[in-house]
Amino acid sequence: MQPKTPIIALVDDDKVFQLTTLRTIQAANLTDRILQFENGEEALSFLRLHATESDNLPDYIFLDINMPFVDGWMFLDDFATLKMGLKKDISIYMVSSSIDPRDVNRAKGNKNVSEYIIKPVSREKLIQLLKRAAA
Amino acid sequence: MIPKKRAVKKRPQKKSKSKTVVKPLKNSPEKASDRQHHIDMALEAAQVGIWEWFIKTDKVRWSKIVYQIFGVTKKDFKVDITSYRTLVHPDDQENLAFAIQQTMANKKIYYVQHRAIWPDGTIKWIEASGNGIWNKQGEMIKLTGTAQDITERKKAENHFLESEQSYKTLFNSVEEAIYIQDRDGIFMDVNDGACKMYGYNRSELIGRTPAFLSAEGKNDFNLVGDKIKMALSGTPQTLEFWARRKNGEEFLKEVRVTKGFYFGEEILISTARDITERKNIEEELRESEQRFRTLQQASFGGIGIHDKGKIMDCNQGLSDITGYSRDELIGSDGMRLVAQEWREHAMEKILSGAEKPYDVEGVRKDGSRYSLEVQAKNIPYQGKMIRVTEFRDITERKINEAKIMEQNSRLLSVAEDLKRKNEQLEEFTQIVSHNLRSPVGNILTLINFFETSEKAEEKAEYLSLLKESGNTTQQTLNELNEVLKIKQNKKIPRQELHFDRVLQQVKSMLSAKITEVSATIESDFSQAPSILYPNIYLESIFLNLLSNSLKYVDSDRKPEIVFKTFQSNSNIILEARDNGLGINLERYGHQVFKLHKTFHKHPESRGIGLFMIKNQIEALGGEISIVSQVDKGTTIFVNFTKYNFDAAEDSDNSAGG
Repeated sequence: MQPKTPIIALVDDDKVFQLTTLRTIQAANLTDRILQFENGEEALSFLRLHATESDNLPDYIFLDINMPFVDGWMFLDDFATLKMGLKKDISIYMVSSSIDPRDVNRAKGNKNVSEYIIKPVSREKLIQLLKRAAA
Repeated sequence: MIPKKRAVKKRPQKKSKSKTVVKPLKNSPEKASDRQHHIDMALEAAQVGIWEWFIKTDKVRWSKIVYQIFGVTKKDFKVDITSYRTLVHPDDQENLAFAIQQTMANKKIYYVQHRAIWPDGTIKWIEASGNGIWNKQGEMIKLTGTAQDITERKKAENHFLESEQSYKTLFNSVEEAIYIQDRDGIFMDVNDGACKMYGYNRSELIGRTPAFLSAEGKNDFNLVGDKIKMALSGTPQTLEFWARRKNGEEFLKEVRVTKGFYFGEEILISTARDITERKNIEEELRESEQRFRTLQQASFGGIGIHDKGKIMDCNQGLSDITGYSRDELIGSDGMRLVAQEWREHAMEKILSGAEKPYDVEGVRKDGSRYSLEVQAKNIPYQGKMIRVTEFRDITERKINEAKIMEQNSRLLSVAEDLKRKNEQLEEFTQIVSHNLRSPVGNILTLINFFETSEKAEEKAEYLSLLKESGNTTQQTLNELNEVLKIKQNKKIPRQELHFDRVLQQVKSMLSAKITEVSATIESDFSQAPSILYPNIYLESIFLNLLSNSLKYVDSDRKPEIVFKTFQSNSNIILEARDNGLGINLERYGHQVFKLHKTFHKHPESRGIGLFMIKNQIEALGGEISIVSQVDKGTTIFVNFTKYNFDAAEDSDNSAGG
């Protein structure tokens, strides 16, 4: 395990996305440190619990919008206040199937969102994204 | 007695009198003849005193009258130049000395008026004259003259001066222009008012005639001449005269001409007033009266002029509105045109002089009532305030107003409905974006992974996920289809449904679950036992609400669920209350009725129920809302007929088609 290996968190209730993304990351040998959350609430709980542990906090979060319970927007609302106490700068990629301009613009207007990616995400796109982020 | 008479006659001719006194003295100064005696007697009768001052000896001799004049007696007063001076008023000493010096220098008679102070303090006015007697060497040897008490005359003079002064002040203080003209019309005097009226000063006007002040070509001088003649014959005249000011401005004035006397002469006294403004006002009044009359007759409203309710005049309109003839109205109490219960209100408006329109109820001659708008205004008329009142029959307007109000509320509910429809459309975009694109995208991804995977194990996994995604897609499509059907199928048949029966049905459908969580279900539909509604919708609503309450029970409490209906503002409302887990509405409130939204990690949560019934309820013009508290429970309110517009429109349409 290399010390610089990034930690990636997948926050999505879509198990197909979870599985395919996991497989892609593994196949490309990008990292083996992948955190999986079914909804925003679980992800937030994890961040709160490990806020001061930079070794355990994710470097990147792939965030879905449409989730039961706490959705992507609510996650972002809470994250805005939460991030003050985090020992790590986290980049958030919003990953959604929505092509609704209202969603796209809303994500672009949020300063904590690095990029808005429309599903389905091809393997190539995912690898390119992760490599660029890790560089 | 004769000399006295002569003296009386002479008294008014004061100037010549002194001459007659001095002349004989001059001609024969030192003769004491009979003639002199006569003269002395005459002078005494005329109360004229004689005095002599012998310059060389400085002796002074006074006649008896002089002593009287100065309030002293020959016995008590030793007269000489010094003692004489003590009797002259200090303010007049200089004058007297100057007069005497002038005579000495110029050898001319002096006349001087001065005051004397009697030993008892009495002040008298004295007129003195004096002249010198000179010897051959040209030396003045004697000064002699007369003295006369003129106090009474002085008083009269002062009185005259004062009265002339006050007359002048009066003459000038009146605002009106006053001219004094001689018989030929020439201005002898004018007052300040006249100067101000024309912009000329007195000297510019005195000596002129009215022609100088005439606006050219605007006056008939023959008529003016006639009027003046009549005035001179003793009948005061009034005439109008177009005048021109110094600055060229023309104006109309009213002149009153009276005969008078001025220093014994027959004269004309004219007073004039600028009446341009009055004329204009008269003209305007005439016009406005004309306008008013025209307007009154042309107006559709009823117009009446009244004094505290008593009608003085009215137009045909008032008669048309009220059913009384004009003759019946004029002179009658206008209050009878207003319904009994409104009379006090109307009288208040009259007495307060209110000018804003107000509504009352009117009564026609036949006793029928109508909506009446009254607007009135106080106007001065023949020296008192009267009221012009307009009646407007606003029955039609009231009806139209009601129509507009109705239409307005209809439009409002259309707008509301459109807003809701727009929200529903947005919701659809959301559904398509998230709920439909997501599984389809997954299918594509999985096919790609399936194709590139080399492990049979993995392939099998992708295949099973593919199936699942296919199913999800189909299910979502079915749900959307169902919602679309709900939205389109507004004319779904309704029947009268009893809430208790519907609840019974749903309870039997969920009996297993009810038993499992051992929930108690209570109901009270007494206030609104039934509703006209589509059976499947009402069943779906009850089923969803009950199953949700059964699903999200709090394991710490025995589940209690209450269904209740009631009426509020003619709306039928269903209340479904449980004591379950509750929802944090602050956090999830915006998502409660959305598709595929769940708020509990519950295996049976699919997030379809509330979304579906919300669509059903709204399609029929209702509204669903939620009140909830975490760990306390949830209450759902269904207002079945909140926007009754939909239902009304539909029934209208179906009736029409």
